[in-house]
Amino acid sequence: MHFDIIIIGMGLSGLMAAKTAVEMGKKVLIVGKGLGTLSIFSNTIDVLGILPQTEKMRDGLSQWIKEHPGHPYSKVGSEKIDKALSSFLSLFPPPYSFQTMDETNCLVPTGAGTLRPTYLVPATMSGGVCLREGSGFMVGFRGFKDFYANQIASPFKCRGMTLSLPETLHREVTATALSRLMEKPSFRKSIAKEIKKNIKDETQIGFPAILGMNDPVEVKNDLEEQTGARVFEIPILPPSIPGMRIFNCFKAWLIRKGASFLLGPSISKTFLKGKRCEKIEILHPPIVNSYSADRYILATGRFIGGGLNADMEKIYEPLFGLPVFQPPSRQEWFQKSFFSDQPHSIHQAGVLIDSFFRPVDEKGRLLLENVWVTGTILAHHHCIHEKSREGIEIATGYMAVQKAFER
Amino acid sequence: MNKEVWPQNHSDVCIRCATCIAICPVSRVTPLFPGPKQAGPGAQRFRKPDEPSTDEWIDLCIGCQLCDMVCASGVNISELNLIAKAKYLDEKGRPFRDWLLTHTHLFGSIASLFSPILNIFLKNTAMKWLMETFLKIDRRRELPGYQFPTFRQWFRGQRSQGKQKIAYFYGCFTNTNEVDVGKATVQVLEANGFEVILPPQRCCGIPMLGIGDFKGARKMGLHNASSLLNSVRSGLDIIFSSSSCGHMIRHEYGHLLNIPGSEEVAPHLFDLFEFLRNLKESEILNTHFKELPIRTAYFAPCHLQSLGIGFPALEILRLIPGLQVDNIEVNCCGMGGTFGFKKEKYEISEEIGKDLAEAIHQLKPEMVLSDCEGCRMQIRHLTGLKVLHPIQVLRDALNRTTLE
Repeated sequence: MHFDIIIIGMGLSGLMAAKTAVEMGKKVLIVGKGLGTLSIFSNTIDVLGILPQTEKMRDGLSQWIKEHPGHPYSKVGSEKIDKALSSFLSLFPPPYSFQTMDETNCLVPTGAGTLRPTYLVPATMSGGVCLREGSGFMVGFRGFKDFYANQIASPFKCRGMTLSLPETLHREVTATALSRLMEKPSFRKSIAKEIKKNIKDETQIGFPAILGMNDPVEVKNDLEEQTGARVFEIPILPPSIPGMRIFNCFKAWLIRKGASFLLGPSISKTFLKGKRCEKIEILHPPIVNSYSADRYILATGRFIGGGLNADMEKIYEPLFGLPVFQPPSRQEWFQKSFFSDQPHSIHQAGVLIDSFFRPVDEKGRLLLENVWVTGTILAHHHCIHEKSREGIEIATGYMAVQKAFER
Repeated sequence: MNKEVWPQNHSDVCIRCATCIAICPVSRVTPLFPGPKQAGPGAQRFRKPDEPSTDEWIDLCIGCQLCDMVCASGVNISELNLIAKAKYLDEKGRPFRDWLLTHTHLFGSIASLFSPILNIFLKNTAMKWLMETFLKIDRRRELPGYQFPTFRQWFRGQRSQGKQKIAYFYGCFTNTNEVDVGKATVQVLEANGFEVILPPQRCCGIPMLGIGDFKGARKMGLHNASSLLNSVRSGLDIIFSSSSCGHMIRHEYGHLLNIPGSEEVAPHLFDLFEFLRNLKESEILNTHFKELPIRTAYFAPCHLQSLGIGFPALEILRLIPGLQVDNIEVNCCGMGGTFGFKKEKYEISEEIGKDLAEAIHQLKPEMVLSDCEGCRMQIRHLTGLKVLHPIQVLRDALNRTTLE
């Protein structure tokens, strides 16, 4: 089958690229080997968490772009970053909308009992932003190993409780199971009753981010009504229910708009002719299907997503065999300590692009004419250290497609 | 089947990212199943072939394969589960009920002949009580009625004509329980200029594979593969209208069951709507549709998703003027073939299905469409709505004149 554009990768960047292309009226195929990392990392939308909370994001970004000419944000430009974020936000109308706190970074409590800076926060988490010492009450569930209420509560000088689950006999419960239970009014009623018995003068209740998959704001509002306190979600270990909400929303939108959506098998081969990609093959043993397009977007992510691989010597890009910018030797991949203040050099490895988002080598020579590269696979960012993962994914996914159809 | 030829597994490439847990329909509704990560690669690291199985919960894996689809590391999670399930049930033994549920093809034609009487029996409360008590087939589940004549018998009276020949694997359920699905398939193919051939065929074997009966499934596969191979070697493509049968033949015959010839058959085997989409791409699909002002909702079965062909039925149905087709954004209906009939699993099946029923309820369709008979049974059971195969709607949309 032939398409206007094939997007390779189903993480946030690939999804954003697909959305942008669909909105331009293009015939789109999006292919993903696995779900991408939305269900692993993402809860809120980080843009540049490293900026101080006092600085407006727009000002901070402009300054950042001046100081980091090779950074993916600099290829997009602050005006287009804004546009890309607005495009993302348009998929999430209220009630489950994302908001900024005064257009600066804000601190959200995490499942590790720490505060973490982030930029766009879903409606279910905004209550945690203004958590004050002693005013919060953390609620965990027996058998749910990803959230220990008392441990999380103690750094905030708050109290916590662990609820027993009436409907389970087993020792373990997963985030998806809890999230589904939360959607049942009878379950909410029973836990609200337990919480009310234990809560004293606390005004905020923190839950792990499992307040339902489909209508979390309804779950939150109902719990608030029943307990009389403000309820908020706290991001926890994977799988991320808020990340799944984002994925489901994109998926539903793309299928509704007629994009072809291929989740599962991976691309086994790309066919290049000169500097052009002619087609791709997908092997789903024993079947091989081929798909062609005028344009291709590479949005395969980093190591977890499979966009970058490492052997004992070097890091490589497995699909197109693009050169990867990386530290000169393996000795320099990591800092001495895992929790070093300095970022590990390996995280800055990635694919180099020109100002049009097309792949180039270290001398800046264009390698492929009809392939555009987007997302965290790009070089010259430290998304973990900068806390910029989702921002980079959204901004570059949007921009690469704009560039791809520019001429 | 010989354990030496069981496929290699990939438990060590699992990075424990938990994405599979986020999608698993079973662990979403019951804590009794520990989820694909633990049951698959997690437990695999502790399994030794010469020690007895301790996986009491492995039989709760419904076999939807959604975990494989979302895994970015390429772990064949569902396959690890299936092999573990086979070992567990081989050791523990399977009840007669499981044999009965997976061998309905043996009495399908007799059941069809006596369908007027049999169907009354199948609906009878006392009969259902007996089946539940003695066979552990849940009485809350409707047993599908049989039809006479069978699809094959009906087809014998037809004179299929067309410029090009095509073979059709219709599957047991179409043959004896939903004959109209087969009729509609033949009619649409004929309207597109194809003469339909029915190669000799038996049950594809997926019900047996579902309970880890590799031997039984392979027996079916050997028969079908040689018959389908004859069709392929005489230059025919083969289409299937049941996504489960098709997935079984296309992907499991070779890889899991090691059936000779299956890899030669697979590239010529197409999902019905995948085939129609190919016709559309070549601009030779008959699109003389009349207006069909119906509000429908489409549900993509797990095994269709697992074919990795996208949502071809959705793409073709959207060509019909007036027809509204909403995609139901839920994974897995919970039926799992024979899974949902079993008394000890009925409630799990129903709980999974409730999420689907809720999503359908919100879309308020007049009818629901799905490519798998199991999904259709479950949706009828939980919503009471009219549920069809998408080909039946496509047939209705084609002008009468082009059909004759």
